[in-house]
Amino acid sequence: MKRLPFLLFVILLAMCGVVGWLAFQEPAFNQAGIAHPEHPAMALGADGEARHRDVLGVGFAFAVLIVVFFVGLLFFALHRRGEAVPGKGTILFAAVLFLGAFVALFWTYSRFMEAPGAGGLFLGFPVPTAWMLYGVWGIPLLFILIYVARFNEWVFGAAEETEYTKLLERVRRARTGTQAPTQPSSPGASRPEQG
Amino acid sequence: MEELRNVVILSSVGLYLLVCIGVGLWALRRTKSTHDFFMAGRDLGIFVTGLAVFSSTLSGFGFVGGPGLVYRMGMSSIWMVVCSSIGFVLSFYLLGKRIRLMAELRDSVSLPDAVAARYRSESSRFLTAVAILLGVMGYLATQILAMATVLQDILRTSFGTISLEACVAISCAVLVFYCVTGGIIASVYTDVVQGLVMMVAAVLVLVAAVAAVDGGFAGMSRTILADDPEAMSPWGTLGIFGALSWYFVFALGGAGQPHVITKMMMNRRVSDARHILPVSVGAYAVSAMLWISIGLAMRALVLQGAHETLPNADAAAPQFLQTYAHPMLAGVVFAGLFAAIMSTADGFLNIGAAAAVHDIPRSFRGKPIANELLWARIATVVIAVIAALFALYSGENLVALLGAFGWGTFAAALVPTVAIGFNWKRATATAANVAIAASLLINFGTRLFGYSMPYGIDTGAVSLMVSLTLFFGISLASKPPAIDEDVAAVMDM
Repeated sequence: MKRLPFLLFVILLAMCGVVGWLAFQEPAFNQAGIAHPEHPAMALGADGEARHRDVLGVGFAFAVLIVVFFVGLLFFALHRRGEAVPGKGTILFAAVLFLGAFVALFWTYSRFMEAPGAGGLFLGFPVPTAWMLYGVWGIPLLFILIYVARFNEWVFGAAEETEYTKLLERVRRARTGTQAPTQPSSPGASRPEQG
Repeated sequence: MEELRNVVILSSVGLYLLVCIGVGLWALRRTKSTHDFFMAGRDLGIFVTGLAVFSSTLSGFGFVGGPGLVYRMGMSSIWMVVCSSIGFVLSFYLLGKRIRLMAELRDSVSLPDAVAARYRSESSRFLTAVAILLGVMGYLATQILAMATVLQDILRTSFGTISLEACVAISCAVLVFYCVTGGIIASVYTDVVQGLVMMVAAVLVLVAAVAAVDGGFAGMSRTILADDPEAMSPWGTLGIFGALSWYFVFALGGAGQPHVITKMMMNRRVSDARHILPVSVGAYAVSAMLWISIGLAMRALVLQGAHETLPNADAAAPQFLQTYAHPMLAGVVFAGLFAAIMSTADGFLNIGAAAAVHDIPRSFRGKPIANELLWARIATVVIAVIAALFALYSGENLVALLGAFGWGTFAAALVPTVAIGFNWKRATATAANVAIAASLLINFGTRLFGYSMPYGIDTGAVSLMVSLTLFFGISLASKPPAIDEDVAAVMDM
């Protein structure tokens, strides 16, 4: 856990670095779309290869950073009291699948970009778009399944509930009495405000 | 039936508004204290909290702006929907347990209350309350304007043109009535009605959209692919970085929306979070079908020449309903649209009132003001009136500016401070204050000066990245802060 905040900080710096790098690139004419010639309220993406060929790798790296950051936050949330993160293997398995959806999306898009429209449709959508709709949306449902199935073991179990109930009673007694509710957890904490 | 279209729509909307008033009157009897007014007595069940969380997340923007964005940009804006699964996961993993424990432990009635307890800092409370109040004003003004514009359109056919001011007055009167009488209790129970109406509307619209275009979604895809393959690619017309930046800010930003996370403080038992998460995600997934189906159907129909080109993208949803939906369906969807707008607006009114009468005075005085419940009701009216005046007279650009400012600002200010800070004892009050200040400066500054990011990257996403980086960097570079023993114990659980 001690290293996780540093890792998250480094990922954030890398993400800021990607945005900074993009600011110095020569953008394609259609980098963020162009106006549709016939329908004024519509935009066109136009030539996908022209706008994405040089930045597809950076785009993939950006997506990986986002996924790793999100998964890092899940570990951050599950961590308790200096113990190892519970269910690390299960979360990592779901995370690999989640990352796999992005890999498949980028792989199929690189082929779609070279031959627009080729590859047919899957459940009503072009294959890379289907990966986005069904894979990128669908795979995180595994994290929901984990949350529901393992809530008592990994999130908030009976032992913690008992501990929390005792803490709550103590705080409530202190609040209604004259005793100060709690003590700061370190000597410097008696200052009214930190920072 | 077609000749009765407008009567059906008016009746549906009228019936829906009456139900809201009824819920307000019912909730009045259950609202006896500030605690009830702001926190619903922390006694909400799984289904109620789940639907309240989902319906607060999906605002009127999802029902009107969402289909409009799909019409304009193809698949780009679908990233705002696709992110919902991991977004709800992040919100519940990071906050589902923690915020509920903290709120009960310190008897918090607002998010800034919990922030002040976590950081032992009145300045953090003050800055959080200010960020909330600024965001609320902008968001609320856009919701009121949207509600009044839709009402004006509905009334035009039967009663001729009615002034926008009158429509603002009618729609605000209902909203303010149930928010003032029943506070958050009325808000969450109307959210349940509103959430159910939105889900029914979305399923019916999906069926209508698939029937309107030959070949259903495959037919829509083929038509759009023939015109512009990139529009049907996963990135849409906006491109890879614009789409991914939306994914980032809308997924993680959900954990920073005060009107949503405040609802996570209200469930009866901590362990209810385990069931609230799937209820919220399921309800959102059903309702988001409206966003996707109308936008793609209208783009395909216009490209096929089956429908005339739209004057503006936001006309996609109203024109689809007028032309392709059965009058009964149009009635349900228009009621659903009001539901979507009001379910978000009532949450804003409640947290805005809490910031104005509870948090800001308390950050200076160190104690609550007398007659807080009465003042909360007065503040609810005052905030609604100011937002309504702001919506009517400040000019469309300023309203749009502040409306767009809302989600990104909340995300950049509150994700580090609340979602990260409540899980990380090393986080300091200084880091939280800097993150909030940076989010306000970046979001307001870039929009005020009209600066846009390269490659269509969303400003809110950059603001979130920067505020998170500052938050982690400052906290890591500082000495570990002191935390109250009870708060530390909760953070260890």
